[in-house]
Amino acid sequence: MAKGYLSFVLHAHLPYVRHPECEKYLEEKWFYEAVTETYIPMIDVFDRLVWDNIPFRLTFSVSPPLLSMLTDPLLQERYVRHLEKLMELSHKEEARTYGSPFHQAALMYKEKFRRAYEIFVHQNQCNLAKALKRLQNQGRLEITTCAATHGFLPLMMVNRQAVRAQVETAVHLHQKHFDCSPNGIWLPECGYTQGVDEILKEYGLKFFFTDSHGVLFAYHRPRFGIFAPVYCPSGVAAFGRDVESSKQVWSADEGYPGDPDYREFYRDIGYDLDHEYIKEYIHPDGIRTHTGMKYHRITGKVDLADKQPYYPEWARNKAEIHAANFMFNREKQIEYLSALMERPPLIVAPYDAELFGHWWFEGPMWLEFLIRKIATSKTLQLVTPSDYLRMHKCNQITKPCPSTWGNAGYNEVWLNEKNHWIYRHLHMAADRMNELADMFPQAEGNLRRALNQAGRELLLAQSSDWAFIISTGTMVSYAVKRTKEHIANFLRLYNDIKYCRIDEGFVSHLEWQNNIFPDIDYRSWRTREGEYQSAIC
Amino acid sequence: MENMWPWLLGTALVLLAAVLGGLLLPRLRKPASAPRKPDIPGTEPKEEMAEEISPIAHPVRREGEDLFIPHRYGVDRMVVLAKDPYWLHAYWEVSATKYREFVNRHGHEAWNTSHQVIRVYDITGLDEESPFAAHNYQQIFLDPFADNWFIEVGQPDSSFFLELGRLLPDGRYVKLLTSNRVSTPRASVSQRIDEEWMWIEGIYKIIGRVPHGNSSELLVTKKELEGGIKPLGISSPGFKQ
Repeated sequence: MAKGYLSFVLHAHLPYVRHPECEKYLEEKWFYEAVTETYIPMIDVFDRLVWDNIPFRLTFSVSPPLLSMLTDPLLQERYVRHLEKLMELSHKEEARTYGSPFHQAALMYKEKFRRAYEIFVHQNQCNLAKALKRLQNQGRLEITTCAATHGFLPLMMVNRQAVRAQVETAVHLHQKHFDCSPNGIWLPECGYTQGVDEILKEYGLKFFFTDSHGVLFAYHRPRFGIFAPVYCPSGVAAFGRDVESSKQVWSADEGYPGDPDYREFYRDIGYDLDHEYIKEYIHPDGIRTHTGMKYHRITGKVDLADKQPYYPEWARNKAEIHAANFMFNREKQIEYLSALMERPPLIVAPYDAELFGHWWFEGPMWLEFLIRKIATSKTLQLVTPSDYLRMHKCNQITKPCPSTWGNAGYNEVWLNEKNHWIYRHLHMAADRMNELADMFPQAEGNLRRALNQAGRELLLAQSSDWAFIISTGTMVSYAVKRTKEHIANFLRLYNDIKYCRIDEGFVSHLEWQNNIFPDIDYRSWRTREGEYQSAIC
Repeated sequence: MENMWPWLLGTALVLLAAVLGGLLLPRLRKPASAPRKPDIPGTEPKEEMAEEISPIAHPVRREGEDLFIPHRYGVDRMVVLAKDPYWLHAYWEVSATKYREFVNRHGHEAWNTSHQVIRVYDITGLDEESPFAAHNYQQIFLDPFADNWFIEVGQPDSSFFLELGRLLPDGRYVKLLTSNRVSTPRASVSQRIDEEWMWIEGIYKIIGRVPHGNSSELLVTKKELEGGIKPLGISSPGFKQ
C-alpha cells in the first residue's frame, strides 16, 4: 500500500458562448481553441494510458455550460469546419516553412490537427462527452459537476433558492449525459460560504473543493491541516487545495510552464504572418486572432520579437524532467507527512483544465509522463475524493472557512468597484424567479415555456465569468452585454408572465438563441417549506 | 285623436327600424371583421415545419444597441455582502412609498436637510432570532445620492447587519431600511481546538503562511490579459488585479 495519496483534479469550464445568430463571434472561438488544445489532447492522453493498461484515477470536473456546448450539434458542426480550416492551414504551413527552423513545429501541428480530427469525428462522433463517460465507465475518471452556469455561490446565498436552482439544474444535466449522479461538485471559483454544503447535501453531493485556507481556517483547527478532508456539520466533505503542488504548476516564476524550452503563447502566426496569406484563417473582418499555430519557445525574459524557434523534442524532454521533479517533490512531501500522521496523507492538486494544453502547451504531455511515473511509485497513489472517503470514513467535523481561490482568497474578484452593480440586478431577478415559481406550481404550455426560459436567462446572467471579466478589464463590453442582455430578457419575461401577455414569438426566439438546459424545470426556484427570507423588505 | 295616428304610426315605424337596425347591424358589420384568409405572398405557401427548422429570427434588438435595464425596481431593500474578512459591501433602494412616508411624517424639508447614514450593528455571537440586539454600532455618513457603499469593518469572523437611515438636523435618527445578516470570514488559523482532533504542529510548520493568491503569481499576468488576450482558464487562482 502506498504511503500517501495524490488527488489530481482538473476543472474544465467555459462560459456559454454559443451564438447561433452569427458565426463570427470571437468568444465562440474560445470554445474551439479549448477543444483543440485542451479537451482533445487530454482525452487522447487518457485513452492512451488506458490502452497501455496504466492504472490511474483522476477527478475531472465538467461545468454544465461546457458540457452543453460539447453536446450541442450546431457547435459540433461549426467546430468540424473550424478544424478543417486549421488542417488546411497546417498543410500550407508545411510547405511554407520547409527548410526553416520552424518546419518541425509546423509538422507537429499538422499531425496534431489530423489526430484531433480523428479523435473528434471518428472516435467520438463529434461528442466529447461520450469520451469522458467512457473513461468514467473504465474506472479512470471520476466526473464531478459544477454549478449550472458557474454562478458564484457565496454572493448568491441571499436567496437560497437561487443556489438550489444552480445545483439542481447542474445535477440533472450531469445525470442526463453521464447516466449517473455526480458524487462531488467543483464549486465555481472554489467559492464556499456557510450553508452551501447543506444545499449540496440535498442533491446527494458528498464533497467539494476549497482553496487551502477554506479548510485550514476552519472553525476548529483541523488536525491534519489540508492533508485530509473535513466534514461540514451537514456531512458533506471539503477537500483543501495543497499549496506547494499548486505553486509548482501555477507560479509564473517558479512554475514549470515558464520554462524557456516550452512554447510561447503570445507568438502566433495569426498575428505574425502577412495579412493576405493568413486572412482566411483569422476573423472574417480582418481582426487578427490566434490560430493556435505558434512556432516560438519562451526563450527567457526577452522581447516577443526576440523569441527563438520552438523545438518539440526539447519541450518534450523538459516535460519529462518536470514530471519527474513534480513526483519527487510529492514523494518527499508524503514521506514527511506520513511520519506525522496516523493515516496516509492526501495531497489535493486542483487546476483549471484549460491551463493544460491551452496556456501550457506541454501540460497534457507532462500529465502523461507524471501518471506513467506514479504508476511505478511505491510512495504515491492516485485517488479521487470518492476513493478517499470510501477508505477513510471517519473525518474531523468542523465548519470550513468561507473562501475562494481568487486573488486574496475571498470575494473581491467578483465584488469590487467595477462589478458590484450586477448584484442588485442578479438578486432582484432571483427573487422574482422565486416569486414566479411560487405563483405557478403547475404551469403548462406557453406559460411553462416562458417560465423555463426565464430560468435560463437568470442562470446565464449569473455566470461568474461576467463579473470576472469585468474585473480583469479585458473583453469587458462582451461581459457587460451578456449580463444586461440576460437580465433584460428575464425582466421582460417576468412582466409578460405576470401580466398574462406572453409573446410566443419572443419566447421562441430566446429558446432558439439561449438554448442551454433543454430540460430545465422552473420549479427548481420554488420556495421549500419552512425557510427563505427574502432580501426584499 | 285622429291626428294622433300618423304620429303613433311614425313612432312605431321608428321603433321598428331601431329594433331591426339593432338586430341587423351587428350582422351586417360582422362580415367586415370576420377573419379572412390571410394574404399569402404570391410565392410559396408557408410550410408546416419551416418554423421549427429555421425559427424566425425576431429582431429583438440590434447589435450594439444599448440594453436598458432599470436601475430601480420600486422596492425597499438593503442587501449586504461580505467582500473579505475586513470589508462589506451594501446596496439599497428606497421606494417612492417609503420616501413619501418620510416626507409625510417629517416634512419635505427634512429630507433635504437630513443626512443619509448607514449604521453597522455588530451582532457577533448573538442569537439569530433577535436581530435587534447588537453589541454596538458604527455610523457612517454617506454621499447624498449614494445607493451602495463599501464599508471597512476590519473584523474577521464577525457578524453584522446594517440599517439605512436619515439623521435629522435636530439629531433624531429615522430608520428607513434594515439589511440581511452577514458574516465576515476568518483571516487566520482558528484558535478553537477540537480535543478529539488535536492539531499536529509539524504539519502546520510546512504549510507556513497560507499564500492564497499572494505567492502563486499567476502564469497569466495582468499585463498580458490587458493585451487583448482572451480569458481562457478563466478561474485562475490567485489572479492578480
